[in-house]
Amino acid sequence: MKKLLALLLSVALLLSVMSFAAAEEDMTLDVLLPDFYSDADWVTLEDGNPVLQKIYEATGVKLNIRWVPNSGYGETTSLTLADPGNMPEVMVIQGPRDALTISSARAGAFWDLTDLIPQYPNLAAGQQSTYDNTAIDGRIYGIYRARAYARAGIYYRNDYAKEAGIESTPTTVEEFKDLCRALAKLDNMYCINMCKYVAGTIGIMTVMNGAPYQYGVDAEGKLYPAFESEAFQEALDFLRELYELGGIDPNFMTIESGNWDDAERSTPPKALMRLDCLDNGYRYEEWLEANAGVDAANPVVTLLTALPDKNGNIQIWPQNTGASGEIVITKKVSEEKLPAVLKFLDWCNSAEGQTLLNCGVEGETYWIHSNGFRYTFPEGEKENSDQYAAKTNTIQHSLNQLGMNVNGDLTPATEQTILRAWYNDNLANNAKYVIANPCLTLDSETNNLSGTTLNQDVEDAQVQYIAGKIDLAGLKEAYANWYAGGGTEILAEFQAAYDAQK
Amino acid sequence: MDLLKNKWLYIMMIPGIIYFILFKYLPMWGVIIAFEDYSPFLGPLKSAWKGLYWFQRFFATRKWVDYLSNTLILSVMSIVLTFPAPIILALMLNEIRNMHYKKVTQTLLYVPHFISIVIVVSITYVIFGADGIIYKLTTQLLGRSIDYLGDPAVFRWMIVGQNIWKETGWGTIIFLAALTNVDTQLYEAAMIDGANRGQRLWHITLPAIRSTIVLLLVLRMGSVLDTGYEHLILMSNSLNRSVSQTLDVFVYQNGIQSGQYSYTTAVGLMKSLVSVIMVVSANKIAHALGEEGLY
Amino acid sequence: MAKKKIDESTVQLNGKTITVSSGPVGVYRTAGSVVFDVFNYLIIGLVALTTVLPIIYIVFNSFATELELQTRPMFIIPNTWSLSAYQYIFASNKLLRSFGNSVFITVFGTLINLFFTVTFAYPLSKKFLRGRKFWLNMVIISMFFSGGMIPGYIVVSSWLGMRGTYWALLLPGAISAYNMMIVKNFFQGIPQELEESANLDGCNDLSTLIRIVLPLSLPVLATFGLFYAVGHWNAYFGAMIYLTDDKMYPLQLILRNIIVTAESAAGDMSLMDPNFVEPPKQSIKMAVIVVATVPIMCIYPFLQKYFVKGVMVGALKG
Repeated sequence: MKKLLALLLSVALLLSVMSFAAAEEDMTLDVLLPDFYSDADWVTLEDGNPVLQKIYEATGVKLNIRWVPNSGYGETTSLTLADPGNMPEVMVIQGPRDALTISSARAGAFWDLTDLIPQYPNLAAGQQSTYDNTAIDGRIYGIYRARAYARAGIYYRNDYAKEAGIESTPTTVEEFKDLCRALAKLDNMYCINMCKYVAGTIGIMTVMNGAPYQYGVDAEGKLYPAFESEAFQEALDFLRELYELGGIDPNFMTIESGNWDDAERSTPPKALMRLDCLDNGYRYEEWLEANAGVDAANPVVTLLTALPDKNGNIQIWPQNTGASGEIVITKKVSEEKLPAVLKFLDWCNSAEGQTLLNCGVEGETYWIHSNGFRYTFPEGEKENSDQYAAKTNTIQHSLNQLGMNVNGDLTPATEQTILRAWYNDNLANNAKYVIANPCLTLDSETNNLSGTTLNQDVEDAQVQYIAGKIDLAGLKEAYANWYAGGGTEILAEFQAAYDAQK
Repeated sequence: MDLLKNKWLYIMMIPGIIYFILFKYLPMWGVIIAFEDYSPFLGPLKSAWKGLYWFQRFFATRKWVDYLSNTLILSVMSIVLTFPAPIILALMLNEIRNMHYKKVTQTLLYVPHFISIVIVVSITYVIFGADGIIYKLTTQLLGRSIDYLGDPAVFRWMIVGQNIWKETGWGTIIFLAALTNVDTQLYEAAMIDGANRGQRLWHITLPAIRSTIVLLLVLRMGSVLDTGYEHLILMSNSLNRSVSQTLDVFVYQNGIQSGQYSYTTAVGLMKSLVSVIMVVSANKIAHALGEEGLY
Repeated sequence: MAKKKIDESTVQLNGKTITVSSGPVGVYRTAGSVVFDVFNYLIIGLVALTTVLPIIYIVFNSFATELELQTRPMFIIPNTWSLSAYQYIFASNKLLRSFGNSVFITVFGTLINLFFTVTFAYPLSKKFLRGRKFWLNMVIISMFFSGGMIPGYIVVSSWLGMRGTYWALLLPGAISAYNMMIVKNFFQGIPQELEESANLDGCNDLSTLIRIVLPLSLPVLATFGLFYAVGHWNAYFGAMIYLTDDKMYPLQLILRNIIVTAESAAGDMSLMDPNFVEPPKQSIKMAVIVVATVPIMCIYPFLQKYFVKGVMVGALKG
């Protein structure tokens, strides 16, 4: 009997030792990531990269990263998928709703994670609506990379607003329009800074005014293009009115988006307002503080969003769908390895994981100053921040591309300037006002084939209308061309898919 | 047999033959993509068959005529304007006797070739834009302003002008190389016969590079539907879109950007067919005119 | 560099006094000729000026501070000179290494190109070659029909196993059909008598090629060597899709990414972009162009001398 017990005990011991060892087993993970710093060297794990080292210590995972310059990531994605034998195990998909992604997912290139996500606490804490937005045929194939949802808004120079006679911050869309008209009347200055990239400006203005985004659904459940709505036309008319008042640079459609900042950064500024991402607003303020002697305690830039329109509704233009691409697990990963990989991705969303991926290692790539906030340079060395940035680039590189952050920002806090604090509050409070395109997850072949050109022609007509080059009849004609050129088919296909969803 | 006598000629060809088979003809299986609903992950054997579907879709889009006409107009302008420019410049350079002047100007003339088109467009925006120096000059000289960047009527001239600026200098190299083959004794004989400069140009210099010109022209015919997309997309905006949408731009925006490989390949196939027909026809015309042409 | 004096002498001909000089083109000193010369020099000078002004603009701007580039409308001479753009570029030795990679790729690539192109073009220049029409048709079809990017990638990467090696950059472009056709044309232009006399002396085709044809074709070889070299130097796409080790990257790939990333608005910075450091834009773009262009442009002066020699048999003297 004793012998049997001893045997059983030793077998149990052996088993537990084995499972312990198995749990601690090293795992190598082949990852493909887009690179934004390809001019900086990359320190691999073997060469002592402190961030990868820390990741290994925490998870037992050795990350083997292949970097691809971001400018070529699109092509590389398709080539990678075309060569399944050499696929990485984990990769970024920049366009979750691209035709390539959809066809590859349906063909079985990625693991279906729908039923597995609830098993992992951090992953399960993500937003269901965002998961749905990136789903294909109702199945989730990747963990989305969270981006600030309520990012779109308006920022303007309040010092010049005072000059124009507007003392208080607008609280409704109508007051905002009055602000614009007042700013337009200032000599030698434009109100709204516009460039070749008009989608943001038109999008923000029309949605703020009450129009749907891309497509709307009427009371009977029928889809219609956004430009058919009254609120949309009213917003276009307002922009046209501003243009006539001299509030917009007459040559805006020839300004490249790379030079969009120029009108704001000249002295004195040539344009006083922008309809864009609000974080560009606080960066503008910080640039002014650094280069134009603006006092940080009295910001001259005001951020504005979530204004009620004349019906009392608040709508925010979706600058993104809440996600910028996703992280997928390719079928290169065997079924046995899958749980370990998911466990790793789950860890990536923990506070420790998020910090390592997005910020790096304290003392090497980020520093906590005595005020408790996180900075990219040691205390007191702000002038050398460029040098530290260069070193960080070799260690951290673009590791944040692996960051998913589905359960919110768990990294050490950065300094809250007045505007940044406002911005973060806004992100938290105003996400509910962001509207969505009802056709985002619907399939329409005509849209895939000619949608880009058709929509671009409509946008061109709207730009010409704003700039007074065509009148309302011309705009309506452009809309008719949209229908005739394939828009009718697109609507029909979307409608069919929409009805099937219900 | 002559095969044996010239065995080295045939042996020499082996590397080239292997090259063409491996790198040009082996990948040609990709042509099948145009007839399928190709998904890179599935590969060509498992992707669904579509037959002529993509071709039909292309001709069903109303605007293909516009794309084709934009492409052809731009192409013809290119051939008429940008093709002769390097020839003329080469002939002019050939007449320069001061070697230093020649060397310096040549080196300067080659520089634009190395500047990426992205930068060329950037510079164009700066100089021809509303704040730009050329815009202001024309407004002063002509009394009215020309919207260089927006006016559809000016667009094609801008594109052609940029290409001429960028490539003419570099394009002279081939012709200058051809001119070195001209036997100087011909010039001397002509001078003795009393030929002036113009006559020497017409009767000696030009004929010497004629076969090169014809060859390059025949080859150029193959690119009649090629306009590239990067340059045009950079220069296009809401005002001039109607003339800037060519076949290549359309394919890039709707095909490559959306990952519609089959669609892209189908249109590319049609373009290839036209190119080959053009080249073969041009070659036949060259032969009819007594020229060597391609072969 | 020794200055070459143009040999001149005067000759009486038909009552006119002509000055004859040796050199590629003999000269009449008639009035019309002088006017033409002045005109010619002037126009070429003007054209060269239009090409040089934008370059000067770029070079000077590359020494300006980012602040000035953003706030001051177009200028040529900066108010404040700064090396910050170049410092940014040379901050890592990655650029020096990639420069070396580019040199390697360019030199070996060009040698491979010339070898393959010449060995294929020379036989095809012989009208009596058996199967000539067939091979030429094959070449022409390959110029216009292609399988596309993905099949090409699969063949090179998978079937031939060249993924991650420099072979993937050097071999797939070994022969440019376009270049080869022109080289063939040049070979056809070489006088038959020269080759026939070599044959009579007992040379087979290989030695004729090496001993007679190639020396006479130096301008052609220099021209296409230059074209191929420039092609290799500027190429980035092959490196982007085939190379897996970033230590093997050529210069253009890195520089291009700097320009393109500088263009895209705020890139794709993560949700938590802490103290977001704006990458320097304009000045970097300018410096990148200078760094990428200068090296390859320095090659041309060395090749210049090959463009003067040719089939010149002798110059008229005195």
